[in-house]
Amino acid sequence: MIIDILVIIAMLTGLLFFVATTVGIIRFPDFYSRVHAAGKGDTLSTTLFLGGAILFILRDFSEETLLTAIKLLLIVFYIFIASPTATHAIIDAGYEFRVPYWTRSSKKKCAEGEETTEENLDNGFYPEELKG
Amino acid sequence: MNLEPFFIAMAVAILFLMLCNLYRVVAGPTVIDRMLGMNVIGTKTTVLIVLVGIINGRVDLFIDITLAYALLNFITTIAAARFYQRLAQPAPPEPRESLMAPSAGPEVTEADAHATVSDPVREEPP
Repeated sequence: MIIDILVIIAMLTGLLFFVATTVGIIRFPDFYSRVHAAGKGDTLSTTLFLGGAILFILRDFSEETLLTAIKLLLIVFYIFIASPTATHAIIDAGYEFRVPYWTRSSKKKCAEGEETTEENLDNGFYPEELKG
Repeated sequence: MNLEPFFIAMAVAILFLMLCNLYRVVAGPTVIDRMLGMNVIGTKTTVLIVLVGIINGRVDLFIDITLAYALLNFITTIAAARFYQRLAQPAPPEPRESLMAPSAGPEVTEADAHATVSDPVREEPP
């Protein structure tokens, strides 16, 4: 009974973090802040979901479920290492590509009624290969 | 307590939020944004597979699929990121075959060639 409540709490917390990640990915204005939202919330929400699954599997304890729980724990450990690494690789590629970043000037242009296109984000160059 | 409806609700919620992330993949202004969205979707797919396994009651079967999917997702993300990073860097100088081939021997520089021409004595047999 207590374990069930712990499972529900862990999964609901994970869902909360995933909602925050999704809102950040959709609503943030430029690439770098989107990476900030995606890198942290994604890792923690996955860890919480899988932790809840581990608790649920260990509810009826036997040798077989223990093996499954250890495998799930290895997946949690792997994701906890690999997901920040993947995020680092992505943001390194974006930095080398000089993806334009968001500033107050581009916000002012938006307020003046200009359309928010890629050209209005006027920081750095915008590589031709990246369009489309 | 029967937790199966809760797990089904969690799976549906994750699926809906993954569809919301798919907006960034479709509309993202740069390629890198699309890669970011696909990375998040792939990470959450591992959770979804585990939840499907719990709902079916065969977690020990689905756990290996989850492991393989997590590895594959990480490898593809790293490969795409490295590809676009290399694309952004300036091209390396053109390799010359005379320098690269293992049978090329010691390199003949400009000064050596000039010396050979101006000093024909070295070419004559003793």
